[in-house]
Amino acid sequence: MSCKLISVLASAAILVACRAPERVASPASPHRVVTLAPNLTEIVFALGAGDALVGVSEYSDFPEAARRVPRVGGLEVDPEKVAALHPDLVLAMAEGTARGAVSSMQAAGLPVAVIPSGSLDAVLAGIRQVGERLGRTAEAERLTRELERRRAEVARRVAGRRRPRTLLLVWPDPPQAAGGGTFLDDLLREAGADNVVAARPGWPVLSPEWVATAPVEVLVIPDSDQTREAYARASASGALSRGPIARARVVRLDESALTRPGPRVFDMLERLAESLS
Amino acid sequence: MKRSAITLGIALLVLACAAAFLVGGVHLSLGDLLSGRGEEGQTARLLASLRAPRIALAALVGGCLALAGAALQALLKNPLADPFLLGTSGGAAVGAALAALAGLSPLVSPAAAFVGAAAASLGVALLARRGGRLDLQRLLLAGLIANAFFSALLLGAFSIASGEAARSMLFWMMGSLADATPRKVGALLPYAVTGAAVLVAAAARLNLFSVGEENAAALGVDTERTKRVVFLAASLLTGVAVAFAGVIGFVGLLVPHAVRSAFGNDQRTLLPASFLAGATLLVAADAVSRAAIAPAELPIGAITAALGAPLFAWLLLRTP
Repeated sequence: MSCKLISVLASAAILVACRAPERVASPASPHRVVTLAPNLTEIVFALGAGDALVGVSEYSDFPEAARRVPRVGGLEVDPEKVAALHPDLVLAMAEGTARGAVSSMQAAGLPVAVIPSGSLDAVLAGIRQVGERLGRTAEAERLTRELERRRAEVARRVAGRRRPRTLLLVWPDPPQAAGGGTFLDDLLREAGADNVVAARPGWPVLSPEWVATAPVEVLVIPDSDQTREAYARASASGALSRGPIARARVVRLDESALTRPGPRVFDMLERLAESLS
Repeated sequence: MKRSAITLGIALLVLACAAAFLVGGVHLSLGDLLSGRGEEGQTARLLASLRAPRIALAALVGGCLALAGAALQALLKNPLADPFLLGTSGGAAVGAALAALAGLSPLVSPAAAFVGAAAASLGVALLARRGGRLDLQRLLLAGLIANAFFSALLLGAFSIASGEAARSMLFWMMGSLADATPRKVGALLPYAVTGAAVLVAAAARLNLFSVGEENAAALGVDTERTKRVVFLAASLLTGVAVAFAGVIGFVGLLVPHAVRSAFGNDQRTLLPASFLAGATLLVAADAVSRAAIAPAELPIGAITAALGAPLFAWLLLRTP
């Protein structure tokens, strides 16, 4: 038998063996759930389904119980690790970086649900979607209604207030801000702030000249053990040490609650609205 | 040396610096700067204090990269020779990335980049040695291998780095002059002057290389020593450029070509003119990077590549 024929037969055998399995729909109430982002872990716990988690992303550290769930990778998710957990539901973020991993998991037939997070409305819609997939529609409805109520309360409180010119930096070196069309832009606006980079979509990296001369009155920064030193350095001798921004009022908000589009972001909305009053 | 070429180079550089000083995402008013009191004057002085060192750093880095490229092209008689192709920049980048990964202070990263560049040059030179001589063909091949190895190391470093550290690292890798300070300029200056002086002094000997190594030796040039000195000086210039501004491509490849097509292949003109033209190019590219999408900045490496690739293609087509 010629080599060519052997290789053709071998390829055919491999193709048959690797043919994508039938896509499995997740059951009405899944009990083996994997989350690929820490905000999704928080949502699952907030809906009372924390016990169903068999795998979470590396940075899932809230609530405390999430720390005990096996990890499936950080920014780079390992699809094999996920598959090995035999999940009946995988929750991924629409705005995440792990798109390649998500499509390979979908191709392998894993029941992946992609959850939006690009605005505060999207965060609430995402909670409802997760609730539907977990068979916890009532819990999701209750949670989102409560969050909506608190959000409306903040809106009522900040109405008519003067809006201070505000910059929210997600990282100081180089300075990277929350621009328009992000859930943090929503958060700034609804908390009664005027986002000075609202006209720039996404997460723009700002030039030193612009940062030094921007008429910023309030600077919002995410605070955690990992970020504190970098911000201190930037304020002492870096981009935040010159011009109006050096004299701006600084509002520090818990990093994990602020930068993860989950339920706790509404705590931050209240906190910021209060700080600005 | 053609005086006209050097005069033209200086004039263009001065012009570019003046234009770059007035261009940016934020308007700088000369009137406010010179006579301004109060808030306007303060803002203008603040802008000037940010812009001036940045222009100086752009000029020095551009000059270093272009001069290193020109000298390597003369030495290797290969128009594709360039600090990036020979692995020097890659070594510098790996040095700085490893320092960042090890959690060392950002102040250490220039030193680490320089060590990486020197180690890469040494390694490439050792690989290229054959019977006690630096073989030029092997040098290019060794650079190719070193580059492949360094890219792999960098990819590995990115995968290991935590999200936050990787963010600063990635930004630095794209090349940036954003955190220029007078102190950085002061720190870069002695290296740039030393490396440039060594290379310009070697220009006459490099001219003889173009008639062939054996002929150069017959004409009394200590070819091995010249090769070593030029190679090390070019590595020094590349290493410090990467250390202070990250990886900015195409300058070392492009500028010498442009200068050669304008003023010919006499190294005594080509080397100093390349320094001036490289400085001018990077000052202009940095001004574009600051002004184009304010308040954000375009990565300067993207600008030099966008200018470099088409111009390189054009030069290639023009060459008979």
